[in-house]
Amino acid sequence: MTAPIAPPLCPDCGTPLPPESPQALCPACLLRQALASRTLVADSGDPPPLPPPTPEEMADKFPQFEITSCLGRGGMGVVYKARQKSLNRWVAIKILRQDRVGEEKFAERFAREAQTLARLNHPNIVTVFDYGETAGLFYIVMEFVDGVNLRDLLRDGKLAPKQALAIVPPICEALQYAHDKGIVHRDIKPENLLLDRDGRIKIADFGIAALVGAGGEAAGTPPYMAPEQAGTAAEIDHRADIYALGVVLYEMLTGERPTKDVVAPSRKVQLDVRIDEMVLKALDKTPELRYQTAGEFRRVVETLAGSAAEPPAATPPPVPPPLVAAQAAAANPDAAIKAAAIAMMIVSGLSSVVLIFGSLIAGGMILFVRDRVVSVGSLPRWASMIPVSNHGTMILSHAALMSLMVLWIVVVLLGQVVPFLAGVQMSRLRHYRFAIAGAVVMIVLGLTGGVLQTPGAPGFAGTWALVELGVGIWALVVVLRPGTKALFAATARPVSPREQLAVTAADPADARQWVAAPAIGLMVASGLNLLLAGGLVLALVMLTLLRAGPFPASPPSGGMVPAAGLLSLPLVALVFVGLPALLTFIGAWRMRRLKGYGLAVTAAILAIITPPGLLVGLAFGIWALMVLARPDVQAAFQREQSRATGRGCLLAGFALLGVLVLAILVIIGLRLLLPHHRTASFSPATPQVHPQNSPTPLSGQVIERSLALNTDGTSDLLDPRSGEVTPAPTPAQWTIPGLFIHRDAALVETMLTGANGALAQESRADQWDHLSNTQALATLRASSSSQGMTIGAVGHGDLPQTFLFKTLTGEIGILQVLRFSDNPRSVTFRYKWVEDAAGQPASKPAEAIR
Amino acid sequence: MTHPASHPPFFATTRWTLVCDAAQGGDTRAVAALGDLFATYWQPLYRYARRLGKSREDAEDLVQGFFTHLIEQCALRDTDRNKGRFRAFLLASFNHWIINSWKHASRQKRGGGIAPLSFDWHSAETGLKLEVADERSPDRLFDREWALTLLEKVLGELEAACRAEGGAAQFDQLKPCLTADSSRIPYAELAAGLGLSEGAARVAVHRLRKRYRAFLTAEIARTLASPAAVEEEMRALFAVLAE
Repeated sequence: MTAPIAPPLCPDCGTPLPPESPQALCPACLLRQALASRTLVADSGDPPPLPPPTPEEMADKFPQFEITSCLGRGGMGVVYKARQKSLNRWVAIKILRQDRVGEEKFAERFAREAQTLARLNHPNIVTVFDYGETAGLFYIVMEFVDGVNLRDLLRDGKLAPKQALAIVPPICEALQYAHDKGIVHRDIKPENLLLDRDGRIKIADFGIAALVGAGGEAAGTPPYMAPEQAGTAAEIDHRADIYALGVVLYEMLTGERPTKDVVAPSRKVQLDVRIDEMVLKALDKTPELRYQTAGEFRRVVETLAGSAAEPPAATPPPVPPPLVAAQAAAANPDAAIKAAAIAMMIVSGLSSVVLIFGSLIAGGMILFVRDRVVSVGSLPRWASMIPVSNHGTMILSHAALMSLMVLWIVVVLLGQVVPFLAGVQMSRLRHYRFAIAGAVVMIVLGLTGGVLQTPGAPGFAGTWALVELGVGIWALVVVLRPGTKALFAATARPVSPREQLAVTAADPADARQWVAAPAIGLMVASGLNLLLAGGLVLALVMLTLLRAGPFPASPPSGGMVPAAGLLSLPLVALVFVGLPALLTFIGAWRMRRLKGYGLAVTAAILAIITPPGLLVGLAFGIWALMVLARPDVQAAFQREQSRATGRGCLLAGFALLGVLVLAILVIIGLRLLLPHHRTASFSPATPQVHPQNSPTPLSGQVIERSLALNTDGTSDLLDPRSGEVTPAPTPAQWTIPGLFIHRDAALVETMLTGANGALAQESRADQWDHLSNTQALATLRASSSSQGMTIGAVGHGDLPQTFLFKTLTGEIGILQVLRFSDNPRSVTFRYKWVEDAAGQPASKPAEAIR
Repeated sequence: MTHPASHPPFFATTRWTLVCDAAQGGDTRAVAALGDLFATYWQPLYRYARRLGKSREDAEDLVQGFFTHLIEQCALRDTDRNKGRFRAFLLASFNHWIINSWKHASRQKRGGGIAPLSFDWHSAETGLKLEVADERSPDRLFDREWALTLLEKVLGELEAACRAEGGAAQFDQLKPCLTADSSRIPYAELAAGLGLSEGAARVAVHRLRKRYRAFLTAEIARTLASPAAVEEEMRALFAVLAE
């Protein structure tokens, strides 16, 4: 027995196992269990000595069913969980106890009873589907109720009076229904009162007591049997059920069964004395003195419960017809769900990985090889998302850029984690609503991703966004198909009795209080986001107006057209911040009224992942998710909204989709139309701009000049043709034709900008002496200058940096930035003409002049 | 650490007070029974002595000598026998013994007509973190090790009993259920692992838990003067372990 390096934890209490633990079991838990079971064993008696036939043993006898497990055994027989193959639905098969079966006329009586029971069609009664005899076994096929029984609940002790009183009315209603048909249950007890996952209460084993107990013989469970049941069966009527229900109620309230001389419940627990009166009346030894009908009992219970709060919804919506589920499930739906779930996991997982590595690589490039990447335009496309990109004049410091990038990674990862986890849960057919939320988030991610890419030329990233979108929609469609919910419900994790009770006794008023605060928080967060998005849009529009035109430094390969690029930023703000904020606001608004559970979950998630309101949204989003996870709150949502959940989500999702598609179309339109439009109106160049334009070949001589550099790093403006220098233009005045050099000290970047008509391309330094037909030259030759357009080139690496430029009138020259000096601040460069407007080479250079 | 599970537990006569009295009277079977009890619980004593700062050799001598002394003296000393707990009695007597040995500064003659027990001294050293400053007193540590020893023995017996029935694999798979709340036991998984039906797995778990309780109760009862105090002792041991 050697001490391991990291001691494993006890799975039960979570503390580290001491190295000397016997048999590698936690010693404290060993004793705790021994202590716990010692108190339990006292009244539970011996275990069933003989295990009931295993599902495998039963399988041969029921070929039409797939028997999966044994649900338990009771006085009446053994119950199995099974799937009815033909209808693909879960059922419970009860095999009646063998000892009565041999009796005379049993088969006849059994058939008669079963037919009677099959006529009971009530939401609070377990429906009988079929009955029969096979291989000497009498069986009844019943509705499978996924949940717990009241006995499980009572094992943890008594219930709160409000909860206890909430359970009784539906039982009374069902009893009244059966009594009206002349059917007495005769064995009402906690074991037969089932609570399903939606909080519905269902009475099981109707009339089976009478069936199994031979005619005339007392049948039932002693503590719940009315005194007259001990006598002859002939005297038993529906009032025996009322007595038994009284015992159950007494047990729920006090945690104990009534003794022979019934002690008023209020003497055991703190209770309204009127409840005493009601319970004691139900428990009266004389049937005539009890409530005479279950309906009467129910009214009294409801009045008493109503004095505390509204009774829970009288009858939940009728049982979802199993047939609907069966039809929908016909085409092997779990495979489709699993496929969609796995697709979601793969896509979001890959996205996360790509995003992390992409961001890290990009970040590293900026930090360590920054002079190779002076233009942020060379970052991966997704980085154009960061509102600093592409536009030289808006470049932020590295620290700001890095922190933005970190924020970006966090936000995107948070966004990707949701669909990933939802996919995991969905593949296990768990957490239906979370799956919906995951699909919606995936759609939103796909859409935002799609907008952020350049839609005109979807590269890998654009395609990936489409994949995300597709998978999200696929998953949503699969999940929202009718019947899927039932599948999820069938495999859901076992609900603890307490949770089940919370669902059954859920009170909308309480739930409203629970959700009020987080909902308001979400609304505040989304309001903040909306404000910020609005502000951002406004700021960007202002910026566009102020700096109309001169946004230089688009990547040499010719990236976004500035106007469209600028327009995409407000769009990004709208899509990434504004729309989620709007969705969050709507979700939170509806959440306050307990409507739209799926939308509420989505709203909470969106609030968490939407950046500007991150801090507020994070806190309230998490709070809202925690509140929404409460089973009673979920139940209250369901009560308030009988329609299928997720419909709100779907509508919102489609609305979002519509808006985004529109937005994408607008962008594509802008990008396609704008450049053509400009070229058309301003080209060919008007000679009026340069009246001195001469057809003679240009001289190839080298001209070296120095220009003053202004505090903002922009040089004076030089007209290369006339040699005129104009004082440095402010950005708003960049309308005079000519070239100027811009130096951005923060990025050690040199930029040659041709204002109002000149085009520039970066070239290699060795091109100064031997200009060859480079790509840059070819691009420049093919491009057309037009008035009003300002495009520049960014120089890389050490000085000298060499540029090719083309004037509005079509001459091409080569310019080399030689040095910058600080006192006085100036830039020195030389340039010479390469070819004239007609493409003829400039004449041989003479000596360089100053 | 394997456990000598071969000793057939004879519950009726193993209650330690009775055993001590009988051993005092010279009953050889009772001496053997006392030896059995001691063989189970000597380790905590040894480690206790080591924690008090005794060297290995001294601790070995003290424990071995104490056993001889125990057989000679146990019926005479501590008439109230510390309210009937073997655990408390053993520790109190051992403390007396250490003090006396110190006073006489003489090593006790080993044996005294009784064959020395063969102890696995080395294993008693395992995990003996003498260097670690433990805020718990040696008394509390003794109680803790006592409880661990007791559980070790009970589980050893349980395992042996299960193996005898041919369910070794079953024991290994089911033993985590001994510490789990009933509601948390994954019956379906267990059943699949064992190739049983779920119902059969439930029964197997129930049996194992029941058996464990029976063994545990019996073992604790053995160390008490009155079986009525089993529950109380169990709580005391749990409290020590849960610290």
